[in-house]
Amino acid sequence: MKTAAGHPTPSPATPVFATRHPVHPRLSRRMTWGLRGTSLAIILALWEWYGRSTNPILFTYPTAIAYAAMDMLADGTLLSALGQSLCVLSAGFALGTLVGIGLGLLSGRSQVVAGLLDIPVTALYATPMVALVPILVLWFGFGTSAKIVVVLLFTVFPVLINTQRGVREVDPRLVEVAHAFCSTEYRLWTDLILPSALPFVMTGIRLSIGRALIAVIVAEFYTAISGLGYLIVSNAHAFQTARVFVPIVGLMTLGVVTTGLLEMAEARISRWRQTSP
Amino acid sequence: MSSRTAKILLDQIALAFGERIVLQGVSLTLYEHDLLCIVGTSGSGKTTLLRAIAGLLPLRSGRILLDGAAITRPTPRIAMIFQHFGLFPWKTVRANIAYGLSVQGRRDESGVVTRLLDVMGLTEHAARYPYELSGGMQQRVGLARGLAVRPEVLLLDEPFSAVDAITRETLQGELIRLWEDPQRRRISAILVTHDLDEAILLGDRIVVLGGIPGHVRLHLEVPIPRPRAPQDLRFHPTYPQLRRQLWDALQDDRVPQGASDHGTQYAEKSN
Repeated sequence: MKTAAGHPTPSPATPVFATRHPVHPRLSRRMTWGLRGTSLAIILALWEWYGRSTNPILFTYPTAIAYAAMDMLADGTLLSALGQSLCVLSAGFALGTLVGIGLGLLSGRSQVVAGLLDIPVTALYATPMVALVPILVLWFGFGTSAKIVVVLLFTVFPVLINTQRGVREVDPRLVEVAHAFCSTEYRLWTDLILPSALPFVMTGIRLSIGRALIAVIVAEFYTAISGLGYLIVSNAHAFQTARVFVPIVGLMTLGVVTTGLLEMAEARISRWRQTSP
Repeated sequence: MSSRTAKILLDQIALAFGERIVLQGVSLTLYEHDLLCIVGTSGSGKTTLLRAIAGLLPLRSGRILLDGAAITRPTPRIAMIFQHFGLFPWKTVRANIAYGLSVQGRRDESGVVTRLLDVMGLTEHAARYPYELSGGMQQRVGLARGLAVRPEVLLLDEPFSAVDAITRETLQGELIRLWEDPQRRRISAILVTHDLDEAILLGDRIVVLGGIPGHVRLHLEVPIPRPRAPQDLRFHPTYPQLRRQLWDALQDDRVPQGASDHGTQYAEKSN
């Protein structure tokens, strides 16, 4: 049927959402976990071997940390410190995420809001937040609220910037589809803008987890000393190196676990664009 | 012809993007159960025209009437099928087909969605996501989504130009079957295409758009009786003449000289 000379060429086939083929062959789940376990085992073994040959005041090793952790669990210092830190972390992180998503959605959808937020957001995101802590102490005191504000400021920007980007990346052609089917603004959000921005929001949240952990410790160092930050400082002053590492390893574990959980949530949410179920 | 009822009437419309006038003085009538094909080269404003009929673009001047009332915004009585399919990637096939009904706050009381899944051969794919389907399948979903709202007018914007040639012929055949199905006698349709054979195969009438700004170059009836079959189309005695007329009308746009040579060559070949 398409033999006519000089027939107008059909536009190239460009389906909107082409199947995504993996660029690299995927490892099986078992293989992935095997590799993770191996790397962890090698690190721990080398650390144990090297750590045992050093001065215990300057360095330590995994089994010593484990014993210290058991002591600290038994006398209750670890759990109460962890509780304090987690309180600050979750409150600041939740607030930061909420504010970030809210402002991100607004500035993604409204050019006016975007224009208003543009310079302040870029300026604050580029500023090392640690520099602001002394001022925050002036404003909010040394208490829990100051710590929560520190965590909030550390976490809000990655979420805000990613959410904004997600809203802006909404396919304008799908917006037209929604309009053609007489969608209301509310349904435009639920059918199109939110689902399409969600993966970006999740990425923002995942990026800010690491910053939130930094923020907690910074806040605990620079305001009224408390929580895991207190354990680190006080044990370091007492040259209890193994005990210094207990909260540090705890923070690492916290980071790995929360990031892992968020990655799982991300994969679940964006099931519609996975290569294989 | 004049005894037929007009479904959609375009009265001297002009459309512009900013200062650039895209279409000028376009008047057209779409009748009840009429399939009108609009052909034109890229940039002739045919998609723009369709978007204006869908109520998605404001007119610079003129009127577009649906049953005598002006269309100024999208209406549930008109459904559009998109060249890019326009499926929601996070919705399953079934949810995509049901989208129009749901967004218009209508219940699927008679099981239209299930029936369309069946008609389009999508039943076993109902729970899949668009990325898992071929282009042809995706456009079947797009077509089903448009039909599900039981529109009075269906607007098809180059619906088959993003799928491969073989799939295109299959889909054209399916569209003919749907169109000639007595149950769907209520629908009128406008199909925009740059494929002359598609226009001859599907259209009751064909309009050629061309020029800057775009206007109606040619308006003709397709005398080939229905039911039509894609494979017999080119053997109909009026086909070569029809195709050449369309071809020449399109060529006016481009090189004025030598353009008709192409047409002659083609006409000779197909004879």
